[in-house]
Amino acid sequence: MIKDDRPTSLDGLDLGERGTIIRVGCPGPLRRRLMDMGLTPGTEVRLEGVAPLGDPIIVSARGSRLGLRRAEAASITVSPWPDSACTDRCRRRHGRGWSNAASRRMRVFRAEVSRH
Amino acid sequence: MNDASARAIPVIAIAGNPNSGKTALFNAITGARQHVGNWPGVTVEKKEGRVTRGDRSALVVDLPGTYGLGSQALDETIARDFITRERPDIVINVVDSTNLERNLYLTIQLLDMGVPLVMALNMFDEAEALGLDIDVEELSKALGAKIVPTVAVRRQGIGDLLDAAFAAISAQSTQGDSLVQSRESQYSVEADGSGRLHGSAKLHDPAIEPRYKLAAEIAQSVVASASDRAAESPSQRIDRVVLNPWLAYPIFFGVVWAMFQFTFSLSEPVAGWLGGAIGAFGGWVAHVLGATGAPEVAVAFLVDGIIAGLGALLEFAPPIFLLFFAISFLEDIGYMARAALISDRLMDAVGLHGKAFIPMILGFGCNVTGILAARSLDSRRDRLVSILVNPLISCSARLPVYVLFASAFFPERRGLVVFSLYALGVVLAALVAKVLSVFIRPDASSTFVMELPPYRMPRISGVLIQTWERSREFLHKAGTVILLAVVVVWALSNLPPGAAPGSPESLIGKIGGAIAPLLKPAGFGSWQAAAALVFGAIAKELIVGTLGVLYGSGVGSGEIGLIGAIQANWTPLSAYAFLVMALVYMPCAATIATIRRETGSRAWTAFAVAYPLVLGWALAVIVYQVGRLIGLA
Repeated sequence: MIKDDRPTSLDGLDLGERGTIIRVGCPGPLRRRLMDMGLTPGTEVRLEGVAPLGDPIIVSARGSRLGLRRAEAASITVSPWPDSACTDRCRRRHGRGWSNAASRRMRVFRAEVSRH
Repeated sequence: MNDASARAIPVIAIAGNPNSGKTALFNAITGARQHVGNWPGVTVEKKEGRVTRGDRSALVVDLPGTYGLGSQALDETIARDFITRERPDIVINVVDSTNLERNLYLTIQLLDMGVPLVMALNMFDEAEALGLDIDVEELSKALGAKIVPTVAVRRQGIGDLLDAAFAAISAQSTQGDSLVQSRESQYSVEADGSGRLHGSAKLHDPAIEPRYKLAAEIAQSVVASASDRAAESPSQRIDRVVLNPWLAYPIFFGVVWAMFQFTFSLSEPVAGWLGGAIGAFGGWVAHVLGATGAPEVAVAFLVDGIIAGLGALLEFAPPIFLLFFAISFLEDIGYMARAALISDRLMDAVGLHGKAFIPMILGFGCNVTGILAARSLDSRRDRLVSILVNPLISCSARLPVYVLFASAFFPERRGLVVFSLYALGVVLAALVAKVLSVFIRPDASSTFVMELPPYRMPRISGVLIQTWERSREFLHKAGTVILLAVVVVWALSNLPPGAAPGSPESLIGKIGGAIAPLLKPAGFGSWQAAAALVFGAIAKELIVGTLGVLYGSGVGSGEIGLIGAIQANWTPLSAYAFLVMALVYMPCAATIATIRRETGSRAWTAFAVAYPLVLGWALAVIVYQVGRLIGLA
């Protein structure tokens, strides 16, 4: 399997996937609020779930669970932990299709292919 | 200003994260001896209370629940200003034991500000149940602050906490700031190599990371966890159902439906009974006074004016109380945060925050309460839009009007007619919100980020206290207006002296007659209808009362006679147009007063009165004219 732990945005994590926050890149007050709620660089986060209409998303960090919109999550860069995403069985339970992690691996794979 | 030494009575401030059990602790400390007001100049609730322990007493102030103290957000500014300017003698920092790391971040900020602090390690029982073993002694040493484990909802540890707080107050007056200093020596190097963190009370951005790092270190060193952290918590399991893509909305609508069932099916008999009792009381007063030979006008004023007004107010109280009970319960149990989460996408479609659905839902009970609930929104724009569209949500005071007309003209389809009006209100609110959110610029805090607290079974006493406070605030505000309004209606329909009460020659008749021509295109151009709408602007349920007076059946009696009079004066089509007008045309006086207070702007208040008038009139005319075109009568 192709390993991909290249940085992605927080909402680009797969369901159940863990990552470490690298950067909180949004402007002033929102950045302050996110960081005050514990989303600081170096923090371990996990994408816990997605609201029924696909937005907002639910992440857990520092023992609490936060809901945030994809637009807000997009400004947070995380480094995903390899192979921490949901298994196939758990994906089926959540009723989700093609995973973010899989599509990221696909992108890396294509990049590798085109380089050779 | 209010320096600690100059005060006659010591001040205890309670600070903590949202969902840390801060309110429960405040309730446990002060009991019923509390007072809810506003922080100066803003509309954030300020709760104060008194506590007595042995021969000592103190004033307790509940600060807004915050995650930090350094941002420009309103809640945090209030908490920070209170701590730095009013200088409370002691701060009780409420900490959720099940989530030390996140909660300690605020604690560290408080200590960095040099605040004398006692920590309430709250929900200690839950931490134990989760298999978390917290070394209280070690934590106390690390922070240099006295720590008392508490279970606020069961009032455990409250006595010890107060003893510790009073002891710290006494110790301070003799020792100065030694508590804070002892801690600085311990952790300053680990926290921030430059020592900047502790040198000042500045709470700049760069200090967030070291503070959290310190919080995490302390939490890790004092908590031993027996259970597997990766295991799914009960709340996560519940959320798998509550937030499930297929079940979330059915559950959501089920909860809202149950809430209204609870509110209205329980309150109806009580309200009816109260109405009957007030009516009987009025009759008794009239009988007794009549026997003493008091002037007839005075008796009529007392019975039909004041007592009937009180009756209208009392009938209002049960549904409001029950609705607030349901809302407080759902908040405390943790469902409201989930509801905000799943409705965010829908609310976002009309330019609002997910939390804005709470004011909307409350608006079905009473727009005043809905508008007050908009306080929970962080963004100024979201608040303003929620406030301005809230009167379009059909409040419970409009229901009697719908029921009266639906009974008169659509007895078989009463439910459908009433439902259509509620739905129309929701659709209009969404459309107007969408339009307004295009024109009002978003501000920086228009973000969603919110915590999903663990589900917790609330204590009924806590829910009751909150319910009582909210109801009292509502009854106080709306009550005086409603009472006054009923008296004014009575006076206007009986003046000038000599005119037959409720006749076209009375003041009410003249006012109605002047407006009636404007309403002709909408199909209800009678002076009675116009007068009823005028008084409905004071309080919507007065539409029924006024029609009762004008068609000669008296307030609170003879609904059958009133239905007959309405059938004679309206057609089904003009009745429906009238109901559309009654739904939209204008916020009631209590609502207008609330909008003025909450927006702090005369211009927006004027707008909130004007746009529904135009919209309501236009819709009523469209309904009537289109209905006639397609051959309805």
